[in-house]
Amino acid sequence: MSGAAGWGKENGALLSLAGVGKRFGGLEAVKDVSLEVAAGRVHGLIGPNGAGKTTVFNLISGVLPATEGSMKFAGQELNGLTPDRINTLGIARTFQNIRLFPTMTVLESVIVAQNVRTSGWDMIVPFHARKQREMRGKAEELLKVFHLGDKRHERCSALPYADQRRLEIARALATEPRLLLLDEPTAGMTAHELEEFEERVFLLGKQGLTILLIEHNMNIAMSCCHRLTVLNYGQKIAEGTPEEIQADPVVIEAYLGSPEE
Amino acid sequence: MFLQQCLNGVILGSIYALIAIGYNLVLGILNMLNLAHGEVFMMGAFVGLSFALWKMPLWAVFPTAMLFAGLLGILVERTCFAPLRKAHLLAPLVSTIALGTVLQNTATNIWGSYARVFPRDYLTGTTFNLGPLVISTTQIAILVIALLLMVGVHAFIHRTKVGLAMRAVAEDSDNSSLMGVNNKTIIVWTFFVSSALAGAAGVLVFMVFGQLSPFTGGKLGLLAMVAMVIGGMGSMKGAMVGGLLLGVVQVMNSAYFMGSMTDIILFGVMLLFILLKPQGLFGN
Amino acid sequence: MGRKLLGYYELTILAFMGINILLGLSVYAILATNQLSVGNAGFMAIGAYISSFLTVQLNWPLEGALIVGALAAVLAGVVIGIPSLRLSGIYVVLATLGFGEMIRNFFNVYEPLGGPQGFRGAIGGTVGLIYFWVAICVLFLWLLGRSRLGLSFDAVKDDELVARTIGLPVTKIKVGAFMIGSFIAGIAGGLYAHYVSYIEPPNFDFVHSTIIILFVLLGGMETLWGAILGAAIFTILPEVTRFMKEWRLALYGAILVAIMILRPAGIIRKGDLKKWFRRKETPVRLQGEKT
Repeated sequence: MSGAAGWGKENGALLSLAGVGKRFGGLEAVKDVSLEVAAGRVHGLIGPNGAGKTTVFNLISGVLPATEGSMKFAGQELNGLTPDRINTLGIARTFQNIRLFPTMTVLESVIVAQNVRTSGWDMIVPFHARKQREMRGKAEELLKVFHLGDKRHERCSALPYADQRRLEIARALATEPRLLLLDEPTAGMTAHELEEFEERVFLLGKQGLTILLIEHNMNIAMSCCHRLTVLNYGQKIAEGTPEEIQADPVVIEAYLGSPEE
Repeated sequence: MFLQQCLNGVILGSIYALIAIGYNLVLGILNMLNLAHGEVFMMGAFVGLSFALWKMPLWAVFPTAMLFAGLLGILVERTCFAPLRKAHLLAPLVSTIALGTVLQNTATNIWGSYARVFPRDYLTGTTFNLGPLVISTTQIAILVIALLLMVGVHAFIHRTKVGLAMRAVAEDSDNSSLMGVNNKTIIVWTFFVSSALAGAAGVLVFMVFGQLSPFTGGKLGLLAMVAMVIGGMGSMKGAMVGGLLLGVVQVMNSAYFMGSMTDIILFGVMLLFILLKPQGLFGN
Repeated sequence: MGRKLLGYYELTILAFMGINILLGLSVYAILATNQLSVGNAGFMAIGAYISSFLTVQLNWPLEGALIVGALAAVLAGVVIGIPSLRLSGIYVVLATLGFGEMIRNFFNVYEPLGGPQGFRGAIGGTVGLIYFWVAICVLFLWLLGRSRLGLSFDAVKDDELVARTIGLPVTKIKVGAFMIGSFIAGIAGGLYAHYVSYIEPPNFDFVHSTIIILFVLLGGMETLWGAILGAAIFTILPEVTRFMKEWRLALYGAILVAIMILRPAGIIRKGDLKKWFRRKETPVRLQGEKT
């Protein structure tokens, strides 16, 4: 199970990247990126379009192998591990362009995400077993929190956009992660939805979840994050608290010409 | 004797190469296997055979078979690939399997399921002695034609506008459409060229073997896939080398080693490549 | 005794339908994880020959022979499956295709098991036994489909990468699917061999592997009922369309090409049966849940 379970503030950074780079043939999408995320904090990853933020997520989650550097999660090296192994260690993610399971229902998506924390026998023992009931209850609770309760038997592909975004997060949470990677989760949200999102992030933080957040919406990034790392052209150009970043001339220049949401 | 078998191997191999090139053309552009290719090859061969039996001279049989096969290839594209662009990834594959079945069954009904023998007197050939080798005009013709076709395809892809467009689409279909290439037309062209090559290979087959059955397409099509895997998926050079290697190995094995085990060895080699070196010799 | 309800002719049709159903299920099981196996006739061949050898030469009881034959097929499935799984779907097609051909050719040259003359003498297969196994396999796949593990299969099929990011052991699941499919095909082979009592290598060629795919996709690739429907149609239709016997395969092929264009998932789609019988679609049913 997750070795990160007992990882607290006293052990240092939950996630640390050191000199991480990704090369695609001749192109260096990510170069020499280092950052540390402390347990229980919300860390923002921002930068203009194409800065390599999603690539960093792909590296951490094991979707792509890093060509250089090391990524440690609770002391464990991530580079070279398969995405499923990384999820069992305690890292879950969402996708920038929403990837839900097209033929499955909302409830099924969340239930199947619980499977990583379900023991072998519990998977096969038929319904009505108490453990199954318990887990299904948890899944439905989770959906209720995300306002998806009454849509639980709908196909994922039939959901409106905002519901799809929430479902992705709910599904990731169902894997009981220690670290949650959110890739532009607020794209297309209304003001009311943004407020809800901020609250949710705050609540999740209180429950001990660590979050690494890619955001284009500066308001959200500043209000939700304890620290921010700024990338441009695949490299880190700044790091600090929201106040420091907002005042940083290098950051401002990088964003000049690319208007925020 | 050894050299003689080498020659036979090269001749057979160049036929495999032509078929494998056809697979690779479609693979390169659509990333999908056209499993009806073998049957298109077979139909081209039968059409060529029919015209040959009606006394059409050889130099006319080739273009006829190639044209017919090319058009059949367009039919494959229109029914199995174009409408399924947005469907399940494996859907075109299954469709080509189905269409291949249709073609094979149709051929069986039109021409019977037994092998049709090529008329003896069609290819009057004299034989030459080239050192220890005995080579007939037929064999020379086959080699020359195969070579011309391969050179022709290569030139077509690297020199003509359509060919360059084909390569552009194969490399990057998003950007190529931005550059004004009409992807759909290019795809149709690719199928035409790929299938025309198969048609030519079909005619060559009945020149080599002297006989043809509706099941030849399936058999040779499968073996050409072995050549494709060994040479490297998507690579023209790989198809040629893989085809030649396959032909030589097959002939050598039949002649010298365990002839009956030839197919097992060939498919076994293909499996080994998939397991150990899936990109083949020249693939990416 | 009693009147015979079904004559010999009808029984034979039933027997072949049962075997086709098993073959369809074998392809379906593997297809459920998005892999197209074009060599299941090869697994069938292994089951057929091994089980026949055991009963005829070594006097094994039929049940044991069937299972051992199927397990041998599973072994082959694992050997083919594991390396191919790291690669894209095309390689699975090529690998299973090559494998099927290899197996057929092997039995064609292997004299101790008859070689090209085929293998005679396996007896004991009955329609009852065939449908016993059909029932077991259908039950197994049905239960699997309704379980959490079944949901994992669905997730892998829908989006393999995302399935990995929620912790599903995709490779194990895909190998598992191969094992299930090859086992069922192996059983089908053993039952076939013991029913017709004479098997020869051409029974297990690429065309046969192809035909299984055709009717599974026709009936519906998304549910096991689709595979069953496809098998039933394929077995019964020839009898109904006697007059166009020679064009039967062309007909199937043409129908399938049309279906792929018009209704690619096949006749029966995932939610269809639930819609038709108006049941709520739930993976796990709880007592007292309000619908």
